[in-house]
Amino acid sequence: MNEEEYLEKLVKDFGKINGYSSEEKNEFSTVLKKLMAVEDKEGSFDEIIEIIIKG
Amino acid sequence: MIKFIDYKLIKQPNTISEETFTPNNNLVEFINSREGGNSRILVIKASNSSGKSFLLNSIAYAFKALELPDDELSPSLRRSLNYLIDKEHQKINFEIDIDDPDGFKINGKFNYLDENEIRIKDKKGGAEKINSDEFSSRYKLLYDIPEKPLDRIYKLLKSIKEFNGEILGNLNPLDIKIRDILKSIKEERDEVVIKKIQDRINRDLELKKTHEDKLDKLKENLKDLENYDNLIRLKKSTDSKARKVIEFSNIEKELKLLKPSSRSKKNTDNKNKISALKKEIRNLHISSLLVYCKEEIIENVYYEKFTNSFSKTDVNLFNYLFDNPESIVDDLLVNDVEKISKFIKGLESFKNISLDKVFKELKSEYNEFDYKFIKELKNAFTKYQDNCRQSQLIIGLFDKNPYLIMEKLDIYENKLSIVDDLNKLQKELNNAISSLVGKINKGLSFSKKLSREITKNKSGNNGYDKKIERANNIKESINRDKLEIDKLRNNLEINGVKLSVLNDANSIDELCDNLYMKNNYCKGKEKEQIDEYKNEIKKSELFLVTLDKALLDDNVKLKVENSKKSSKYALNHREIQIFSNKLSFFTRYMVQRNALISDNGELKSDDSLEYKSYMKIIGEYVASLMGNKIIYQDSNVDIAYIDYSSKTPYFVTQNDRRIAFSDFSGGQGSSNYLKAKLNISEERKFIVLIDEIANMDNKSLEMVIDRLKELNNNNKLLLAILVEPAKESNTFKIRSY
Repeated sequence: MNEEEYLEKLVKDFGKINGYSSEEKNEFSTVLKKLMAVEDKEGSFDEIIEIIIKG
Repeated sequence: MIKFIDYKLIKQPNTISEETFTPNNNLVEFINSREGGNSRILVIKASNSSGKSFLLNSIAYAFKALELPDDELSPSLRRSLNYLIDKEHQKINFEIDIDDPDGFKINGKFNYLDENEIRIKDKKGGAEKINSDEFSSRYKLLYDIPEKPLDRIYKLLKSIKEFNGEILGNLNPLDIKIRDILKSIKEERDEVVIKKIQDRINRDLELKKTHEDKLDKLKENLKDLENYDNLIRLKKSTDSKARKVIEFSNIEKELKLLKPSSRSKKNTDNKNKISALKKEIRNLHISSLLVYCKEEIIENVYYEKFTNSFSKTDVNLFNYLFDNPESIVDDLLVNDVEKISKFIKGLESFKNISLDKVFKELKSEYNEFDYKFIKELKNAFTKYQDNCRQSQLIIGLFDKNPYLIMEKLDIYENKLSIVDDLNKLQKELNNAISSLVGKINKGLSFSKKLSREITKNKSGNNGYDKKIERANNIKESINRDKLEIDKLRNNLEINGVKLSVLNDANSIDELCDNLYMKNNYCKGKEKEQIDEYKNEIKKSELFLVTLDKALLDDNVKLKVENSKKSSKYALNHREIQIFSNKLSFFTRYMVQRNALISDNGELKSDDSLEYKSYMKIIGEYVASLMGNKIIYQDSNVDIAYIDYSSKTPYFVTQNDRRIAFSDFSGGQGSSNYLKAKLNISEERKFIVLIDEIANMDNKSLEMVIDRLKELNNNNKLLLAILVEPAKESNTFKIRSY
């Protein structure tokens, strides 16, 4: 299991605890991974919003 | 692979014990002859004191092993490295070149002059010095002696703690950033908010219109009721005035026939007293009380029954007493004792005979005795029930459930409660008439004083003086009527009644009839209805004031929102808010889970259900670090995860077979531990130096070698040297894989 897979498992577990649907879990996982990959979080206002909106 | 290695070790330099060591010939030959081909995995089996540990220590020191954190370098190895560079004890010059799979060489060297550098050498011979950080960002040095390997497997959780820390280090700024974004979007133009305010304004305007219409209707109804009341009063005042004008005219005629008093005294004090006494009589408000009594009688719901019960004498008496409420006041003002006494007697007779008779008749119709009986019975029942809930007496007596009896009593009580109304009305009328009698008697005493004062002023013809006083009183009364008429006309005009109507008695009658029909819905309760309308109007006006304030407030808000600059993201505010909430929850989830692992990798015991799934995830993660395979009893066993939930952790296979950590031999443990340390997901290239692998059996070693090969195949291995002691002396054998 690499670190990305570990994170994915955490998100799944978190989603299950909070009663998310599998679609909701996948969406959150995708967006989270994309956001975590953003290097300059401070200066990425538009980029962050676009990632969240597009899912 | 090693391209070049050379060293010179002088032990106990400059002493008689000085000894010099250089690389073992077998090693030099192995490197120079390219015996191992391109292999990066070497296992050295050598006898004690052949320099195998020195070799590992030197390579480790050259590649900055002393900069490794405590948990990545055992204390015994750290001691060995510090001993290696102790100049009082020995002097070393060491250099090694290793081929990197990416096509350059990495050169490490150090000497007793404290020089210790790492260089990258390109194919053209150029060399670039790199610092420790650059080196550690490219290569991971694993220098180990597998001591208590099973304990250390348990501590592999530290790598999870570190990774959790990395995730949290990423999540926290993200969480803060998204909240900042939300805040800034809030300050931007939001069409949804604008629409909400606009909708609220429209809704309030509609509500305002509805309430204004309702208020208009209420005011219209109130106006109709008030106009009707004022018109009736106007008619009464006009009639009263007309009567008084005729009376005045008659008195005037009579006065012309009488001889006036010979002289009159001019006495100002006396005049003031007369005026004050007249005022006292008028302030008794006898005429108003008479009007009230009359209205109470003719406007109550039983009036029809009253008229049926009244005899002709009663009707005449009623008319005499209540039709001209001003006449008794006039009698008091001229001290007409005979008329006053007659009036008082009339009032008492009306109260004690006429009304008493009527009420008796009315109440007998509704059977007052039944009502009293029912009321008393109900009281007795209620009291009995409250005190003796469990008693069967009532059921025994009446053969009925007490609740059913109470229900029946309620029905009777309601039906007969009309008697209460009649009693109330009778009491009110009796009180009013008694009060009237009292006031007239009081008025009579004022009247006597007044008469004495008037007499003081006049002398001679007493009959003439009385008449002229009466004429004056009537004149005053006419003036009062005039004032009242003017006031009523004014109010009616303000309430929309045209002057042409007010000037014509027929039109007034017609309007009265119309309004009577219009107000018919009040069913005799016009006064109550007027009060109700006034209350409703007050409430409605208050509501409209509040609504106007809300509208004013919203209009300002709308202006503010409208003046904000537009943002394409404002519409997505909700979406971002939802994600932000989820992210905050997830961050909290991570913090809570991360707290389960201490900084040194110990697992804090918490068997709560919500953490169970996380325990499994970390168990799966550590299992994956070990390639999901362990050596157990000389066999490869596939494992799914490590169960950390009990005191003794277990490896759990795909088939749910459980193997406790404590069931492993040292060699198997070392192998399993090393595999886990050689994490295939590591992004850097490994430099692996492992001493004392002797306690591993062939199978265990094979698993470690397999993992090293896997790393090599994935371009993740720079060099691996594993050493084990040989029992034979003067042995230095190198195997490559």
